[in-house]
Amino acid sequence: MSLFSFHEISTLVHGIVFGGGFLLCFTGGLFLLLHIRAASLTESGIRRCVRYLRGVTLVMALFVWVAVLSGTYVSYPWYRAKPPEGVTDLSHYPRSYLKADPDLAFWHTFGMEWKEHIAWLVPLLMTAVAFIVFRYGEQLATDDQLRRALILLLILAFAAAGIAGTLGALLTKAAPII
Amino acid sequence: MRVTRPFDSAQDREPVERPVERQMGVSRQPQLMTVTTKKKVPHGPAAAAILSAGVGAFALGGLTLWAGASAGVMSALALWAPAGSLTGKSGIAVIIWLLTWMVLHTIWKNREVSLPRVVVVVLVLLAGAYVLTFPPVFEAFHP
Repeated sequence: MSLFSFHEISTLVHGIVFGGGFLLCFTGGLFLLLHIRAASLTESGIRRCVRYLRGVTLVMALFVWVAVLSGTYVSYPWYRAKPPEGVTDLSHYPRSYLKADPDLAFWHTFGMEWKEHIAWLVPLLMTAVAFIVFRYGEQLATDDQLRRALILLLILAFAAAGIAGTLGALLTKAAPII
Repeated sequence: MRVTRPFDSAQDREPVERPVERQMGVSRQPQLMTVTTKKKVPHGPAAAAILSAGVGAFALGGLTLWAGASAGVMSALALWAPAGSLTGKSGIAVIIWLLTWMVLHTIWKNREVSLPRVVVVVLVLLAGAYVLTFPPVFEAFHP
């Protein structure tokens, strides 16, 4: 008997590898955007900073796209699965399990409903950030308006991803997909 | 063997001018000039990317509210039954986002656009998207 089922492993990969990876990369991306300033770096320093920034924003954009697509098309159908007639053990049907218990129904009507929608804002914002970093490159070091706009978008994307990730972790605790 | 240097190594920072060098008339400042003299890309492409993300996000919020207010819309948006209406909401929002980006990029690619103004518009759109995707809001419109 294995420790984790296939559903659990898939959901872990969705949440921890891709969702968690995105959240972990945020600090690096934010640091690089705050750091890349012509006034405090040499030309080679800026070039290196841009190289890292391109890498981290590309990884973040890819991670978040894989996270929302795997969430919507892989994990979510398992979460929504309807139990066959006569089934009384709802532990394999997380949505039905949560809705059947008035004390837990909140985790579906609020938790999952918010998570599934707000998560989809992140790839749109993150793709814009990555595109701008690739398109403008070293100009970011001298263009404070653009840099500030990117920092704002990155923080908003992180906030949405943080909400989705936290709710995902709490939902997994309340009703794991097994 | 390649030696990996720490990210914030001394050579990446602006060099400190030493007193001896100052006396000798040595200046390290010109190193930075090459960055500032490169051709500047106008803000149009960035504005197009940012604004389209805001439009796509707001579209998702609008579709969420619409689906919450109408059972017919909710079932019409269920493009793939196992995942329900989320497939339609996200799919249509992504199409709107990409179309908006394509159109705005074509119009603005060589133009200087006021970035602060675009950012304000996007903040309004994103605030709308955050509010409209908040369950107590769209559930208030359930028939």
